[in-house]
Amino acid sequence: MGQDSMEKLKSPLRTTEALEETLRDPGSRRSFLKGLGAAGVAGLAGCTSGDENGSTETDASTGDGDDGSEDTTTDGDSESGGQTLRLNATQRFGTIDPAKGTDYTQVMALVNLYDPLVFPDEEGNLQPHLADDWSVSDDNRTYTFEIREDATFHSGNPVRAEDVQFSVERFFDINQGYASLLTGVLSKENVTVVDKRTVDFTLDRVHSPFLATLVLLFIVDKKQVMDNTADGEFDDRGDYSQKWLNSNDAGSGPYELASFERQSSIAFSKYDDYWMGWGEDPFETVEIRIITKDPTVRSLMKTGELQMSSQYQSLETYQALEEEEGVRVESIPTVTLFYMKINTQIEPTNDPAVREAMAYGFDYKTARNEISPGSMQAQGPLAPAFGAHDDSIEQPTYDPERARQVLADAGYEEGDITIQNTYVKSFGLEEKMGLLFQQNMNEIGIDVELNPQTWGTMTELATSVEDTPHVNQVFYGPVYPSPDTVFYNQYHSDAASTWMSMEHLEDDTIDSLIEEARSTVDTDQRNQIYADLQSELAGLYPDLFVFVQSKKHAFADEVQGYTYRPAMSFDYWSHDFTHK
Amino acid sequence: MKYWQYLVRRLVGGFVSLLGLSVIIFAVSRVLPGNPARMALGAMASEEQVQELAQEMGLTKPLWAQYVDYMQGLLTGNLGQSLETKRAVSTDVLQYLPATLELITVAMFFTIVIGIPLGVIAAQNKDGYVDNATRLVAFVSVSVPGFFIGVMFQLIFGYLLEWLPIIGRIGSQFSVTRETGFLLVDTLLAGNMAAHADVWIHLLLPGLALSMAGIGQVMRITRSSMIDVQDQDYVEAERSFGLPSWLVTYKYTLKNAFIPTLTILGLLYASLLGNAFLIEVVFSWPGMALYGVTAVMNNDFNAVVGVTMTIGLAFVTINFLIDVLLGRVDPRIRLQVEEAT
Amino acid sequence: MNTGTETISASVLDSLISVQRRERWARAWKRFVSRPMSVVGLGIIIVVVVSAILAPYLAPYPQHAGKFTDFANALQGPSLTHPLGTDHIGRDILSRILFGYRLSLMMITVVLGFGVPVGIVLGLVAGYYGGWTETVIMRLTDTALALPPLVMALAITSALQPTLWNAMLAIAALWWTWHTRLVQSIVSSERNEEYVQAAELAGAGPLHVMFREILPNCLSPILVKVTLDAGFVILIGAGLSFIGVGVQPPRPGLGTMVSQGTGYLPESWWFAVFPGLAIFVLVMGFNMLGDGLRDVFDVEVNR
Repeated sequence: MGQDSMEKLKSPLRTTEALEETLRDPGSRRSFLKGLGAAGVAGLAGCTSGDENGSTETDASTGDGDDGSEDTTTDGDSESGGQTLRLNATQRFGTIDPAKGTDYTQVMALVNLYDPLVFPDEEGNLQPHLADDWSVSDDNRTYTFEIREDATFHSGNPVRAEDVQFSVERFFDINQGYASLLTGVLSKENVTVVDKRTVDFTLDRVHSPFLATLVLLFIVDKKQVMDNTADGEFDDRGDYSQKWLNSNDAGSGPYELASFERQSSIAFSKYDDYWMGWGEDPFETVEIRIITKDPTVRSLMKTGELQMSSQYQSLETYQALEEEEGVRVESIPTVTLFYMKINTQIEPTNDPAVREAMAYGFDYKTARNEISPGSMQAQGPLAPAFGAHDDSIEQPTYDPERARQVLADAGYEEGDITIQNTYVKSFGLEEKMGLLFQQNMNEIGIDVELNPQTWGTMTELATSVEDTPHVNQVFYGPVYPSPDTVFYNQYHSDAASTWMSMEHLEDDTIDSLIEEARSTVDTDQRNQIYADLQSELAGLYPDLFVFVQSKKHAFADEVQGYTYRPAMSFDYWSHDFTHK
Repeated sequence: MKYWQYLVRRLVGGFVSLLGLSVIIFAVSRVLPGNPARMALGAMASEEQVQELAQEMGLTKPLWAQYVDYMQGLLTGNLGQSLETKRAVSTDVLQYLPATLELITVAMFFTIVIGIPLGVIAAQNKDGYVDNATRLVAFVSVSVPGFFIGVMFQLIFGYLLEWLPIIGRIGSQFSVTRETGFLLVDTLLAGNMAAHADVWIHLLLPGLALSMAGIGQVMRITRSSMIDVQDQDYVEAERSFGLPSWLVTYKYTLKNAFIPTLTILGLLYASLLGNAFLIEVVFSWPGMALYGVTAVMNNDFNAVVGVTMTIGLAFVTINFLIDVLLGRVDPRIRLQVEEAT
Repeated sequence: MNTGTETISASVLDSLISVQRRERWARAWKRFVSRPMSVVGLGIIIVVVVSAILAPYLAPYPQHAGKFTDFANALQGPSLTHPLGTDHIGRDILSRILFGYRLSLMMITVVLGFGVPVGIVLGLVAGYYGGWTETVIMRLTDTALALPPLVMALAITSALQPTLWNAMLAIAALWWTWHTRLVQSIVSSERNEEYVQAAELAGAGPLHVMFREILPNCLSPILVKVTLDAGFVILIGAGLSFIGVGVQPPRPGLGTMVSQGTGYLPESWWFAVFPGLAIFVLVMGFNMLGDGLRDVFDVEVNR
């Protein structure tokens, strides 16, 4: 989920109305979203949301691993002397391999176990992290990073430029996860070790979002990885330790892996020698449990067995928890959007008139106010908080008359059109959206079949144009801190056929605009291109832009330090958390 | 026919059933939608990666070859790898099975401890007020959906009265090293009495909920067979000899009346395997049901197969054992009892 | 009967027997009506069936069973406008329960409509012909009986998309086994009764003997079993829906409603409780009815 750097206004602006107001004033908005164009907001949502939705199973079945007995849970006052932070996630940890992880739970783990070169701050600006300094060449194609002196891996090995180079090679060789983001931008041969602590990245071409993408490059311990390889396809590098990294970590992050049960929980223990050092009262152990059922989360937060909830609990659960003593619920604005992605290549949704009718036939207000209270109106695919957001583009409103007219003008009669609406099974919010959509479409003469699926199936259906259903409900936010991801991953024809691009859009104008933006270094010029992109897209109606998400978390009172960062799962960086 | 002939026949029958089950399950699993290889690799994997894994998994072989692989695996106890947990299914099954068995056994315990005495009382007060009351209770217990009783228990004892926990097997403040997987045993082995008590507390609601339907049946069978036996002469004789009433009841009458009850209990144990599914779901009990249902939801076909075969095997085994024990005693009884339920 | 029957024509024999039969039914009915529980059971079933059939007219908000949302009214407690409250989408629970009963009855009809006749036919054939035919059929039946029903239904439904129809198919696929067993055991003992032999001597073909001579004698146990089965089918169907492989939302399946309701405990308890009670009442009705029938016929069937 993307989040944005509205953090600046975090304190006085908890409430949605105040926030919306700020957003509407271009001056104050720009002031807190400076870096958005280039280095700004980091959102690593997309996949996540998708995947998040992905493993929410039926109401009646769960992948819950809430048998506290099987896992070695350290209780609050254990002999090790430290406190344990327990939080829940709503989907399993598919992998903890830094070259493969993409969704919200995976990055949740990775961000604690590993360090990237740069790190987003509360506003989304990139701060030095493993790299304590960097410079960019005049032609904007070479980036030089200085690795900090005092950083060490959990193994004890120091972090050197070699490790960075190795990490890049591993990333590209394995070629999963987000490797595709840098394909065509960087070749692994062009990452050079200048000296023990300096590394150069020479890009194949100017790529304005490059630095932002680097938050996803988690640095691994080359020595340790090479020590643990098994037989594999990478010649002398074997399997690149994929097997070993499935259940171990080779990172330098603030926490080390303590235990890992893929379907039920993962636990980390504090790495005392972390280069950043520790403040007062950090958590010795962090345990993330997979709990999808609301009553369970509620019950555990009540008894204190859980100290922080996920952002995907039901409205009723948050309401109940707010009443609970010792628990507070915080509401955090994000830059993740909730879309109804429309397949633009199959009948009848390949007809822009049909899409336009759908866009005007949907009751956005009810969706926002009743189904997802606290969320904000969307206007195009870019969250309004982005500096590059164009306020003047047309956002459809609920106008069934107009919708019916559009259909009639295009020659359709009532009952002519039947479409499917697909969403993640038993994800309450999406089920409600589906029902609302069905009812709304019914009023304008379109028949809708509801089609709940597992997230796994949805992502698979996305890979083929014919199989992708007409309408798909997806949460998506920027994958890296740049508007580029909102456009490239969703709308560029090269990026088609993933769950992020279920629109399967193939439009030359859009493609060339996206490419132009990528090679434009000047922020203002680039924002102009983004503005053009937004209005082009507005005319195509590839999606229903339903709302901008405002996420909620429940916290036990003793958990402090939660720091919102506009980057998916970077707010779960447990180095922030302290206990009272 | 002779006893051993009967046994052999039943044994063969059992194998045939298992074979049939394996064929059906295999067929079912191959029809599951979704590409398991892609699901294992995740959304971002490329086509080639998916194809590679599919080949590794043997999915590209012709169906009959896959079946042979599958049968081989079954016989050696290798149930393949779960797509979700990335562990061997047999490991997963062994991980979750004890939780289910523990729950079922406790439910059986409740059924016996509550059902039989109630049946005895009902028999002794035949046609009286108590008899009719228990009859009604029996009715209700058989008609209520298992999951609903579970939900009601949660509502009343968990939420409303807050007497008992509504989910899980043990509070997360306890850490118990897993020896057998049966928490009641493990907590004793670790000497952790507080944890042991906590396990019992967590077992109460789900165990009771699961035992409900069984209580009704056991009660009625006990009652009717007690009545049959009570009226018999030797009981009269014993009473007239001055033996204390309770002795007559429990030692002599009950023992002889026990056979049909025993049959029912055996059948119940088997059927509990199926019903435990619903209760486990209600109470988030980390057992086979949860694992199986999750597998179904995720199209994790290796796991689905593993779960079904395991339960099928258990079912067939129990049925066979019942036949062994009862066939020895009186084959007609089993048929009668089955028809009566 | 003595050898004198050989001189009496088959048709007279026939009518004598059917008079006896009719009298037995009349007596049975009298006994049935005298037992309150049976009558209550019958009453419940009748009420449910009628309400289900007339659901579109009886339900206060029939459209709530279909494409309808009213989020502003979600999770309202029982009130005058919504006697059983509303669910998380704002739909009236009472109306949905009535339509839910329709689905339940449909389930019973399909499952038993398929399972019972198949079971009866197989049982008749097995019992009548005996020998190899019987062995084969009964082995097949035993094999199917050895499979745990809920798990099998779960596996089957999961393979073919989880829908109500597939759930019914999965259950029906196993249901015939019990009836086959039941009928076969009756038939194989009746097989050698004199009235059967008489009919055969009179030249009746196997079909006639099976269906017109033996079958009527099986009817009472079958009827009892079917009634009790109905309750059981509902329980399994609701169980499957509860897990998520039966009736899919937004259709008003009773088990599905309970399952969704559990997410809103304890504040909105009505959402899980009322549909659950609805299931209970229906199953209880069938059980009472079946129990009553059994007691009644036992006397008659007792030989």
